[in-house]
Amino acid sequence: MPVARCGSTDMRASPSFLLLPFTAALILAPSAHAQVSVSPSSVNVNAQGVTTAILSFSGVSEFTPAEALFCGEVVAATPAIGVRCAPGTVYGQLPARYERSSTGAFDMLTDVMTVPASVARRAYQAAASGSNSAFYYVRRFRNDGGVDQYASVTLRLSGGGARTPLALTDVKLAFLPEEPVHYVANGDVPSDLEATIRYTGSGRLTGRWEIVYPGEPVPTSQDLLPQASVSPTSATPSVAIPSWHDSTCFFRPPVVS
Amino acid sequence: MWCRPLPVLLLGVGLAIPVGAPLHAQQDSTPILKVTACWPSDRFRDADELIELTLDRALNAGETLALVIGTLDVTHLTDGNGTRVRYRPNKSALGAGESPIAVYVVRNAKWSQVASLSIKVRNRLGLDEGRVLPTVDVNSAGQLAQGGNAAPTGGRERYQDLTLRVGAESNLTRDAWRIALQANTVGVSREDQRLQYETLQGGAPQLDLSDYKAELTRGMSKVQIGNLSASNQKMLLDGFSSRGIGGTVQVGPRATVNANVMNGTNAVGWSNALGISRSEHRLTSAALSLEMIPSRPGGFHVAVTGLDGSVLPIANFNQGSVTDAEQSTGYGGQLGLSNPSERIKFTGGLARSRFTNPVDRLVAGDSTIVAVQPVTRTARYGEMTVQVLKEHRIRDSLRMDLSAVVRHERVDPLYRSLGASTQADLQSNAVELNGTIGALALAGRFGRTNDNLAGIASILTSRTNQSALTAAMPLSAVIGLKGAWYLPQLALSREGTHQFGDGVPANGEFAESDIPGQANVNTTAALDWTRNTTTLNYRWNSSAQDNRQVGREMADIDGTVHALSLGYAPTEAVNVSLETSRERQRFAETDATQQLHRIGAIARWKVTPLTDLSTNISRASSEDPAAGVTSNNTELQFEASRAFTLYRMIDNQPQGRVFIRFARVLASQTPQFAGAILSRDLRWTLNAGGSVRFY
Repeated sequence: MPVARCGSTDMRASPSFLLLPFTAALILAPSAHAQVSVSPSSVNVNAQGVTTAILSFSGVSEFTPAEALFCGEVVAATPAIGVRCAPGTVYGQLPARYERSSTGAFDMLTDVMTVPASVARRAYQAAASGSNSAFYYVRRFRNDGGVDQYASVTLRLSGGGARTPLALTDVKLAFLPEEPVHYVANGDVPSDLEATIRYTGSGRLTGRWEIVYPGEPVPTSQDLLPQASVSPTSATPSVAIPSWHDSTCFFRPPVVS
Repeated sequence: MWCRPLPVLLLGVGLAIPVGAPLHAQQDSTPILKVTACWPSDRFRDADELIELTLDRALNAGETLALVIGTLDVTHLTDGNGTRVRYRPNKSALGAGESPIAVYVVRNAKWSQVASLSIKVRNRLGLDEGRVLPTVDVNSAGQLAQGGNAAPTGGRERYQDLTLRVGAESNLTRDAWRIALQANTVGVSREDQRLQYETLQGGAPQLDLSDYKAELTRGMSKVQIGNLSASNQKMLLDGFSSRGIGGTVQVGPRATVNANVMNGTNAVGWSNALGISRSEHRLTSAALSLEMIPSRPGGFHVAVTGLDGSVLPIANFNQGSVTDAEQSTGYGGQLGLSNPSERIKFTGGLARSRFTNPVDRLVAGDSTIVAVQPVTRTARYGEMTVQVLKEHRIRDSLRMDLSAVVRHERVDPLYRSLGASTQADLQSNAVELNGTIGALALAGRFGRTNDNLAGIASILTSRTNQSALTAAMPLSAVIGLKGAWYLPQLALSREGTHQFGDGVPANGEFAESDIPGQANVNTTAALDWTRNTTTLNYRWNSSAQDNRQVGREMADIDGTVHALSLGYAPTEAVNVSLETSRERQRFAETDATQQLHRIGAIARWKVTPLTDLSTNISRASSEDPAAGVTSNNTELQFEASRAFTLYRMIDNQPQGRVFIRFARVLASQTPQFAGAILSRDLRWTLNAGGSVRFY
């Protein structure tokens, strides 16, 4: 981190010191704008599958979030600020179907970083060929009329267990034997219901089965998000197991707490 | 002519004896009459087909023969000569299905039954069995009113949604041929509950096809269209369900050939009804299974499977997942062995799969991205089970069983087959012991897992050790006081997991603090008492998470749960249960303790055979010192329902039911120590609906 001591007579004594205030000005000038930063700045990810992690970008009030790329190397984004993906090392972008970033309070952007298995596979193959196994998630923040900024997260290849963010990456609900819609006649007992859950990380998975009664909000794709990314107002009040009656019911799997 | 003796009933003494043996206690010295049917008794025949009986001797003077089919005496329509009796019914004479045939000898106006036969007659369509069962249900669920400050505004305050289900199931059989058809459609008035709303949104059909299946079977061979399931090799094609076309042919007593073409994911809807129209989202498989010892299935079983497939980034209908465009081609073999007593069993398999990710436009975007290199990788598994002791006698009334299982599994890095769910780059070995000593059941499992099998220096290698011990025993049986209700059923379990990184990888941006190190122990004890109509259950759980990661050594979490439930069902019409639990989690790093208390009750009263009342109420209270907040959540539901029958019972059940339900949820947050309420959200709803089943 450069330190400028402006106004010192010593600075004029040497040509190199003459340059220093100018250089420092160049570097520090953009900091007059909000500096986009991200937390966490590094994450262990599953080398053989999917990983999702919640990222918080701060200092984004003057920016509009743009594309997010995965890549094997980064280079200085000059004239923009930060680092961007080096050409020829891009593993892919965050697919639009998983774009769930949302702006919150305190100039924060909450981003759900979803690393598709195909991106992890590219990173693994690069590591197997001798490259650095780490790769990067780089999101661009557009500043209309100003300088864009980039914020990057370092992704380290691991087994996807402990020290990787806890997240459900694949949830499949099925009555056995598996059928798309299970019909139960009045008075009959439904067949066994099974949830197959794939996850990364480690933690305590607790919850209970919920049956969505007629008239209550039906499950949405938001139900797959980690609890931290679901605002309290969007969560459906849980209900107890009901007596059976003749209606269409939806099932939610146990939720993370 | 197909003529063979058939069983007959000897009336009077009530013994069944075969025709051919003395069959009637004829009073005189007249020789016994044997009657033989000239048709195979297990096969259906056309309604107008000739019925012919053979007698072992001609009738004597004074004797006549009477033939009764069902309740119809057709004696006067029979003809014959000597030892032959024939009857050709007209098409409407005999009802479809199985009918009894009784043959009598009439002597001196006295009828004596000499044979009891049966005949199976095809229906008017020429089918052995023809059955069509339609299903038509209409459900209505709606909201009559809602209130409270947390009730959604601007939405639907009052509504009535309709769901229509139309289905059919049929079974058509003739000789060895069988056609089974089954289909279900669902119509929904509310847009966001339509089957394909998640993918088609407003374009989702109001009446949609949820599933269907058509199956043509002859003996052990069959052809199927519709919703299928394929499972031939654990690592290649395992429990894959989807729409498609498939068939199985039995070749001789040992071999079975199976082939399927299926949609890439389990789908619903009218479009792509066969499931095979999109080559980029389709799986094709073929398998040959050999049962080398047909008399002992599983004794020596060999299967070879091939799979070729491609999928688009689409999830199954009942699945939420992160998807990719994928292609795989592979083959595998599976072997199953067991000894004649089945005390030693082995199953194992090996699969090779070539996998790649084709370009996915949504992943590539406008960039030129690094291509995924197609690679061929191997997966294997093996499992050996040995029943060491079986019913081993320790003393007179005490027996012991003991079995051991050894498991091995290795899946290469980057291994993937579209037909199976495997975790790549993982090797695991485990030993399992299961045993019983009298009423005491014990089990133990010990396993080790490691990843980064290619040993890439820049990738983290993790190792996992797991152990589990369980015990279950009815204390009354163990102590020897059978029927002592106060001695509960006891269940204990302890699971331990230790996962840790194998050093700091070089050239991978890892610091020592990024290396995992965690040991978890989970212990549970449960006690169950049952006395007549009352059950009592107590469960205790303790979990400990010991973080050993550098820099996070203090980030340990301990949790304890106490849960008590009481159930009381004095009659079949009344059922009451009470539950309470107390959970505590302590975070060592911050010395904070979160607590959750829950208490609830559920009651159901079947007031009359047609009327049900039920209610449940629960209150959950949590304390979070880190946030300085206490949260309370109170839920109440009351439901009344009444069954009715409009014109006939269906499957011995009333035809319909109406219900009304009141639900109230109150959620509040208060500062943990003092201060005004932070939030208080109340919502109540009054819902009502009904259903009618027409078929």
